[in-house]
Amino acid sequence: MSRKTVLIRIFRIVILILIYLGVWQLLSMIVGSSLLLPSPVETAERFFRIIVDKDCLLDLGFTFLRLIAGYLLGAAAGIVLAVLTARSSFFRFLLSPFRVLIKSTPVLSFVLLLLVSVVSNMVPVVVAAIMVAPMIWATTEQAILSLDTKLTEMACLYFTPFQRFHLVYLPQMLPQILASGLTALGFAWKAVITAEVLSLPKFAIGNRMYLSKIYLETPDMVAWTVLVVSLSLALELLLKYTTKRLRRRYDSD
Amino acid sequence: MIQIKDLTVRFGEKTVFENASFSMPDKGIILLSGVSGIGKTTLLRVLAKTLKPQSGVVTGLELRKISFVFQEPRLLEWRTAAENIALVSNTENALRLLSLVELEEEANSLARNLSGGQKQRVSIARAFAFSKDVVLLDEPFSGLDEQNRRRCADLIRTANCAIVVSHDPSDEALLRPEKKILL
Repeated sequence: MSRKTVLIRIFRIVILILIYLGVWQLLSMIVGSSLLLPSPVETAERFFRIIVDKDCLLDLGFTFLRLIAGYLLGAAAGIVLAVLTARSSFFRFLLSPFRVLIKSTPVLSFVLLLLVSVVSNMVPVVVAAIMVAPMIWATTEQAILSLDTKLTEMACLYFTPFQRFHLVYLPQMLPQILASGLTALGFAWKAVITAEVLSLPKFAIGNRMYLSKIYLETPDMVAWTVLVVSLSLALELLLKYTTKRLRRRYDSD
Repeated sequence: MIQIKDLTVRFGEKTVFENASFSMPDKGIILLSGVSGIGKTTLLRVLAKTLKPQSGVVTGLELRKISFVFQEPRLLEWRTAAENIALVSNTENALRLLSLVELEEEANSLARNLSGGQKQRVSIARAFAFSKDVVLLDEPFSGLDEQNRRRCADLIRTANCAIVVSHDPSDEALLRPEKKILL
């Protein structure tokens, strides 16, 4: 990518951010109450106050750990379930009600149910896993089912089972699984924060947001939201970069 | 001798072989021919053990290393021509075989960027890189021009045992098979 293209891209992003900030500022001026909608300047001031607070790091760290744990747990469960249902009609039949259940039950129902039986610290982890698993499950299952059977026959003749997986199956499945993994990450963030607000574990961004709401500190709440969005964006960019590198290695387009 | 006893292969309602028994030499070039849909490709798949028949036994191939040139090249499209061959052998062998099929200049080209005929030649080279002991070839000359057909026929003649499926009469003259079986 040339330097000029990069500069144009940065310029376009800056313009886009400025437009959104302008609309936000305009709306907050129309509303005229920071309790209902704080201005961007007010939010920025709270945002910087929050990130220099050392307790904030603790909240951020624990929320991040819950997110990663829930995401990885959900992804692993999704992959195992996908292998089972793609390879066996018995498991496909057996797990069909479970699939419908985790796909359509509201997050809130899970949180309320889990609050009774699981330690509050773990509720966001389990809820994130429940959000991520069906997405990864569906995509991975589809990817397995759409593997090229002719290539598979060739691979059975020429390659060992490990080579088959690494050289033939993975390159065909990876683009679909990675794309769904990216989408699932956004859902995992939302699920973790929602579960934290409802289960109130000791160190958590959700806990801070809940307290901001109780004390009617709307600028704080918006600032925490901005922080969550920024983190989510940073993580998504990191995953996109990794995805790009992996796809380049296993490019099967 | 390669012996096939009581072979039965069905695909759903369609029966391709019903208790079929026959034998063929396990050395030299064997040409299998017959009308379309008679079961030539199915027989090769049974011999390669990539298709499990409903019943029947194949003997004479137990300790043999089998390679297969499919009707379509079946290459890893996201890998280079050389890699496709080296993955079943080694780079040195891959380059040697690529030069035998006149593709050394395309060694580093991705398989997806090769023409149909070039892909078929890579597929033949891959089979010979994997094993020259028993090579099963299903319409190996499809999509090849006369010069490349001759070049590939020369390579096929280096196999200990090559079982070639073909419906083109000119392939017989090109391969000069030890035995011809009409299914």
